Amino acid sequence: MIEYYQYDIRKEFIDMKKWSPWRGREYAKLFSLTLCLMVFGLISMGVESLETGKLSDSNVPFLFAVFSITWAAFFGYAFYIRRRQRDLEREIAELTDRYTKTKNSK
Amino acid sequence: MITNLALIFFWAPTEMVMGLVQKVLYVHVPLAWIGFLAFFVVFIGSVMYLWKKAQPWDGLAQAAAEVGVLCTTLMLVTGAIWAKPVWGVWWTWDPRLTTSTILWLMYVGYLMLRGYAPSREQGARYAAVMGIVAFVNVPIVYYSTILWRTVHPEMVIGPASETGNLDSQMRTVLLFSALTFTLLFVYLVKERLALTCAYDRILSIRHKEGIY
Repeated sequence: MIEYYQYDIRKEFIDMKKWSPWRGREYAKLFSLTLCLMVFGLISMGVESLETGKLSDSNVPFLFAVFSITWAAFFGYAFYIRRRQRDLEREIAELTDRYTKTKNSK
Repeated sequence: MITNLALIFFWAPTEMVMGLVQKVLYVHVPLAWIGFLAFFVVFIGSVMYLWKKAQPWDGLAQAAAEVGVLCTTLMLVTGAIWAKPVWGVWWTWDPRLTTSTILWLMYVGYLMLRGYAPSREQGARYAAVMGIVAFVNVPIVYYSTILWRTVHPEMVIGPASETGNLDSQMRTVLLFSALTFTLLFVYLVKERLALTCAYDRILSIRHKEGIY
């Protein structure tokens, strides 16, 4: 049987600040910026199509759907991972604290 | 990512026949590429786990599989959205689409196998075997447009593509997009790996404390 707690390499991985320097606020900023650029790009392309009289053929809604779904999925996944990491970090802190207290009392 | 979006929207030329919807290519193809890359990482991680029996390899395979499934799902969804205005249908049982769906189902099965395994070690071992077997489907998906008659557009990237298939400006944007998505893949795998390691750390502390 593999003992998961035996690997020292985990100590390298566990340094969250080194591995996951980004926090929720940074994600939110980047997400807003991406969304703004995407909407601006799509509107400008829609206006261009309107000027050339090809709006009905431009399929802007399909393009909008592709970009919004893709970016929402990536940001959603990144948010989910960060949230889970934060929960686990909290649990690690609690367990370490409890372990230290038990050790000291002995 | 922002530079990539700017290039797609403001620099890449609009295709004459399909119009603006052709720009889906700059997302759809890189998603397919990182899906394949992710499953290659799963394959490597699985082989190394079975050989070395070292948990970090299993963690890597798991992280890559999760990101790979996300990308393959998005690849199928974006493909369907592109198909509606171009082919007139959301979905058709074309060889490329069918083999891609089989690939997606295999890796969803891979993640389910991990989730439902009686123990973590068993789950890792079964998943490693499945990660190796499922990788056989990746070249089948890639070469499906050559092996069978298909309505799917010709390959524009990779060893089987022809250089004249794409305008040079479009090709530049596509390659830049592929590079950007590859970096995003690396970042997401790293984050997912950190999550696995945090979970392992908890197991380690619980073991020391005697809490299970």
